[in-house]
Amino acid sequence: MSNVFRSAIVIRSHFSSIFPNLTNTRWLIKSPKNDEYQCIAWAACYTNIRWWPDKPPYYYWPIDLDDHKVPDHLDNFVKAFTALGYRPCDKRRFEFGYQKVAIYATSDKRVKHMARQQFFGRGWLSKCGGLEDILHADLKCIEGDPSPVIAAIIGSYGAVEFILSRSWWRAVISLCLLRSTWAALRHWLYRLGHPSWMWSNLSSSLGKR
Amino acid sequence: MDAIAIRISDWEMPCNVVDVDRRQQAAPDRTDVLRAYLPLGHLRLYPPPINLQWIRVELPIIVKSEQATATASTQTDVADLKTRFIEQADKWQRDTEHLSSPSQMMMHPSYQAILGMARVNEDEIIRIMLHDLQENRRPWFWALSYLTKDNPIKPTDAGRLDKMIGAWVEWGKRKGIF
Repeated sequence: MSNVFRSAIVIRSHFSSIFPNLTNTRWLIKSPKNDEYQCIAWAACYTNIRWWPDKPPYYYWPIDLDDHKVPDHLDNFVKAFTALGYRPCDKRRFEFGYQKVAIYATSDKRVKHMARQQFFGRGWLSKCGGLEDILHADLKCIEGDPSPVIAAIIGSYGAVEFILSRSWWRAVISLCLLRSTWAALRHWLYRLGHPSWMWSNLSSSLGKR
Repeated sequence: MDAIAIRISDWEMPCNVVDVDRRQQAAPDRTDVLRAYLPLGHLRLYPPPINLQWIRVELPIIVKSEQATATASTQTDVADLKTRFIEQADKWQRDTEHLSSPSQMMMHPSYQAILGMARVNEDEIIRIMLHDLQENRRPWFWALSYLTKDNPIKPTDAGRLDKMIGAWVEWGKRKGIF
């Protein structure tokens, strides 16, 4: 499966059932359903490979793992994104000239999800596992209970634990901007060829704050 | 079953059914019969008092019937296993499709249930998993590695779903599953 285009109404009802905080907020569908990449890869601007710290390696990971910690510990993610030019940051809001990523984890620092701030600060981009990529206004929209037990039972993302940022310049030279623009363009071209899909997406997002 | 058949054919040659029946009436129980016949020679020449005709006729029918029952039962079990697998796999996919964390996905009760099914019929579950991986692209990589104690995925292909699926399909072909 490369791309699966589901009806916007189906996608919206599916996401609303998974993330109750998305209900009554304005969010947009930014890509078709695709299982070739997931949230971490999309946070690093890749759309052809899955990223996750794992042993033995079933996913790609850019750095060697710390043997003293569980593979999905927060520190492994901070290290990997530091290698991509990101630095720890304490502000969630948009800052001109900086690209930000947010790491969602449970209270025991086990990472569950990552989101990347849209280049011009219109919101946060989240590729939800093998589902669609969405643009949500706030990081809280997809937050859940931070308890590891609850996260395991209901499959939630926990809460935002860490924010990292890098300059636009670093994003440009790492080809992040080019890759994410190309992915957006492909989806935009599809939507252009399927006006009914675009209409159902717009009409189902109208009336939301 | 083979061992019994050989002994019966051995007994058939020297045995006179009428004699056996007469001895059966005379001997009060098997122990006495053996005690009486053992000094006279090998047991093969003096068979114990059992109705050979009954065994010769009935035994093959019983064996065939058992084999037929066993085959039908296995087919039903496999079909039932596949149905239960698909049921749990659909539920697992529905509930975890939005997740990226493999550990969170593997902790789902349906994933555990499928691993539990492998305790009953491991080979069949591996076969079903490989077919499901190829057809529905559900990531069974950890379960397959756990059950087969093998990992055909090259480190350079890690994260590339098409290549990972291809590696397991090739593995299945090598093992004669596809």
